[in-house]
Amino acid sequence: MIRVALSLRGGAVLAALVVSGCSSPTASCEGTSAVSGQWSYRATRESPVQGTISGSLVIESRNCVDVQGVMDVVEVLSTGEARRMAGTISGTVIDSTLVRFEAVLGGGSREHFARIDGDSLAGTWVETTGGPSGSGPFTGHRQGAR
Amino acid sequence: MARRSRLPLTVVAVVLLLAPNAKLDAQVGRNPVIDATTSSVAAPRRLPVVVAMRESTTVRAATSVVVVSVSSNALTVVSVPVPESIPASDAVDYVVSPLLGGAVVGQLTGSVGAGAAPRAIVFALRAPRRLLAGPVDVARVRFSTASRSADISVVANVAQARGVTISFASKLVAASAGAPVRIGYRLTNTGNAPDTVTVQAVVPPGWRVLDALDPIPLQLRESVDRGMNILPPHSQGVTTLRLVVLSRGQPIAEASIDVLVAGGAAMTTTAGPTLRVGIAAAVGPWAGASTIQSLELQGPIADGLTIRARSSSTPAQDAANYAFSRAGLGSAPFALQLASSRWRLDAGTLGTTVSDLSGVNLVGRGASFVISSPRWSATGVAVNPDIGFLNAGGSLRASRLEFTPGMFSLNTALSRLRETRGTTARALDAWSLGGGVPDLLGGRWDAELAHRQYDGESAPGWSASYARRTPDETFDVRYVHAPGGTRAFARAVNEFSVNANRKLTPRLHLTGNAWRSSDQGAESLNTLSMEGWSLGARVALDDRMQVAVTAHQNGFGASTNLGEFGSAERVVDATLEARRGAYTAQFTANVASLERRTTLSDTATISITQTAPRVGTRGLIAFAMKDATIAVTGQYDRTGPGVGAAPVQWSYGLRFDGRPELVGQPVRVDASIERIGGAFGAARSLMIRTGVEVDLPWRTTIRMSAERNPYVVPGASASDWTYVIGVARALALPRLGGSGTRGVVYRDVNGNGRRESGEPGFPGVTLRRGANVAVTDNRGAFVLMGNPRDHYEVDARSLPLGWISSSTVVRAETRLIGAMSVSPLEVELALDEADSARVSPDQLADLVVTVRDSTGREWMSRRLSNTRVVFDAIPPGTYTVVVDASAVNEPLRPTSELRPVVVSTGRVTPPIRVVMRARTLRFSNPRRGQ
Repeated sequence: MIRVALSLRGGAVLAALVVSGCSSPTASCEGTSAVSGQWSYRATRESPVQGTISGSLVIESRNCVDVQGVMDVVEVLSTGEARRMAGTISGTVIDSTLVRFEAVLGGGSREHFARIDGDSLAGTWVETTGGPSGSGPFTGHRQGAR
Repeated sequence: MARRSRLPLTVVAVVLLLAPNAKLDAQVGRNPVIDATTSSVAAPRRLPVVVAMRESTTVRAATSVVVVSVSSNALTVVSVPVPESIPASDAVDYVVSPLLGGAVVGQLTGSVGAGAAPRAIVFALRAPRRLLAGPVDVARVRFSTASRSADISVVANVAQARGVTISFASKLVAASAGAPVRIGYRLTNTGNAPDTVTVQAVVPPGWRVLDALDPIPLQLRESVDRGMNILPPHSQGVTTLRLVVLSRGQPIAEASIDVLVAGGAAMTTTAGPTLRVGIAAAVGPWAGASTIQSLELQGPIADGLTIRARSSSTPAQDAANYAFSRAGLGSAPFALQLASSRWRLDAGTLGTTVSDLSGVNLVGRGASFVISSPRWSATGVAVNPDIGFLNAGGSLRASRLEFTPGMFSLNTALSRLRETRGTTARALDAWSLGGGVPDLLGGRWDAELAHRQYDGESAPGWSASYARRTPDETFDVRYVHAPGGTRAFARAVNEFSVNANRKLTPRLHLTGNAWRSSDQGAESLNTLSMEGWSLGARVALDDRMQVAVTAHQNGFGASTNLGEFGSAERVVDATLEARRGAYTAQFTANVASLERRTTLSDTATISITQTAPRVGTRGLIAFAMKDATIAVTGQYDRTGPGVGAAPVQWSYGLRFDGRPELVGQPVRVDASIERIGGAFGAARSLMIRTGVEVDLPWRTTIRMSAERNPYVVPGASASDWTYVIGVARALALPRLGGSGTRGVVYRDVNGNGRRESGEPGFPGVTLRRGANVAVTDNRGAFVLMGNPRDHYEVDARSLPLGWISSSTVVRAETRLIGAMSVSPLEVELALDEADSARVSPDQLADLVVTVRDSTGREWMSRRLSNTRVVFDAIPPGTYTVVVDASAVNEPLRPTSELRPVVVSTGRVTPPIRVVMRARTLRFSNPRRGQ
């Protein structure tokens, strides 16, 4: 179920959300097509121990709102430890420029919230395994032609 | 249906009162054998009755038999019907004559009024534990009227009760790494019938049981000594093994024993550290092959000094590191630790925490040093965080002092932390003062205050915690306020957590926790808050089945430049876990509510809340064999629309974990295959993992692994399979300096403290000096490292029961250590009959009895009663009994000189009887001047 509350001028964004959320499968699905494809993924872990995360992100459109895919990354902590994590992602496109998705990696899940700008993706991730855990910024760059 | 119960006597009494008016289910009829039942006192309305009756009559008396089924030591209600040979019109008297002492509970005599059948008397029967399985006469009941009488025998058919105890010859067994060790144990049949049992060892991974599971017959009351050969791994340390006794497939007894695994065939720690050299190669979803070399050094390098060091090459592909870790050779930066009993030095890449308020997770290259004594400790840290990032730099310096005068502790810390990673910079200058009280209101209290200066700001921080630990309960609560949060080397600005865990009954366990944290000012997040709670209960329905129910919720809220986003998940889980024989099954069902919140604030303020329900179930059925475990797993989740999750996700698979033997060498095999569906890429949904590890001669281990992860995104011309092979060899290095202490532990057969011919060495005895450990060989010889001028200890747990060493703490210069077999000696005190009239026997309680050995050492006794004392464990030798009567009002002395007592190894010494006399009375006649 989706509830939307508009508290200020909500023109373009709300219109995009409603259009993408209510369109039929045969519609253009502008939101999900903007994010579909294979992306390079780079992120930083800011807490509790700092680290870098890099790898690939493959996103497919499931319908005009929902997306799914896989994430395959290697996380290198500042302690020198490195681990490879590969798992599924699933989420929704807020509009043609904003996406939220959850990646299930290494026994936990990481929520992502990002803005899509052409062939670039930039946003924030938060680990939601329980208790204070990791978070940081991330970016993505589309690989290959759209 | 027959039921039995163990109920208090008060309940029995109630039943006995009710019995005369209760309706009985069976009658004594003319048929010589009558079917009947017994019932428990828990159902007084449906009273008991007779299982069978055989009747034989004479002219005036009849004898019948009532047979009841009883369990050993259980309470059973027995109803004995008034024989039909006695007319219902006659009142009848009865007498119950118990044939087993204490077996019959209730009124033994009385009368039953006239009336229509059924008439019966009721009493309770407690079959003593000593009764053997089978029929046994427990009572005789005589019914009599003025004209006739009838006897009824009550026969208890005692059910078989299984009971076996298992005990070990010693509390600690010493073993050599990688060499078989025999665990000796004793089985005693404490049940009431012969039994046949098997003994199964529960060993941790890496250990192997070498013996087959043979049945062991146990006659009634029989004790047998057996042993089990077990192969420990090459690693060292103390491990607890559990032996479980099974009768007809059901566990009926178990016991645990510690096994000390020492390194090297000599079973001493004279060897130096172990150097492990490894090399591995991997091919995976990346271009080309990747290799790694690693070195690891671990163990004592000198007396009282241990080293732990590691280093490895850096794989060309970070992604390959996961594969190398599957071969046990993962990439690790250089790190070194040197430690003694009083100090520790860490160098290389390290991570440490000074305190919650003066710096957590200080990671970098450098060193830290800790020195400690029983009353104080000091820590210093100096690292440079120039790793992990290309543009990382800075310096992290901190120190901490702690004093523990006794009833409390005080600590202070000072830190100056500067870190730059890329465009991010963190800084903190902090000074903190803290203290703790280890035992106040049942738990430990700690608090800390700090002045924190960061980012041009300064603010006080504080923390407080309370923790309580008992065998049945744990409780801790903690709050930390650290201004600056993660950007000033804290976990968050505010952190609160509470955890509680309590065992309410042996079968009911409750757990609960809650937490909340908030942070602000991180590079990517303006604010971040997280919170959650859980509440659960676990109930063990019986020894093989338990149910757990847990409700929990967690969520977060974050504010970023794009807007705010957060999520919450509320879940209720129910889990059923059951074990039967070699099978284990676990099933979990859960119901959840998911919520995703997003607030956009660039062109408008729009709040979007997405919610969806989720239900799921998962299960596991595992079967354990001697050297392997096989498990079948399955999972199914269904999520409603709204949050973007996959509508259906499922998986099922098979796991295998085994340690079969190949050409006399153990092989460790693990494999799993799982089919995953519903989510992304159903066509690529097979996840496969398999690995094999074999120990080869010369302490060489080879490991191969193959894995297919369907979620791996392979590079160009690469597959989603990963293959790795690794070889590692362990080399024992010599120890620097020191020859240790060489000595022998021997059996001091005659207990004179000197080794003489015919007194053999004592194998398997553990000796310790600080971190150094030695175990005596077959001749009782040992070489114990450490400073030869320091005293050392005999680990008394490694001596068989009934053996002691003269002292567990051994002086440094001692080279011969005698172990003596000890025996009890009982002394019985009595008064001469001639004095019994004028001296109270109570006076004997004031006598002090000791014995002196041949060297003059005095051994004290323990009083069992006024007239009996015992020396629980005295070594073999010749003793003189000494009776001190100085505390007695009436001067007493032994009637005759006490002869020396000889206590011998392995022989029971008969009790000594000492008869005491009072002083001789002399009568005089003053008139005669006598």
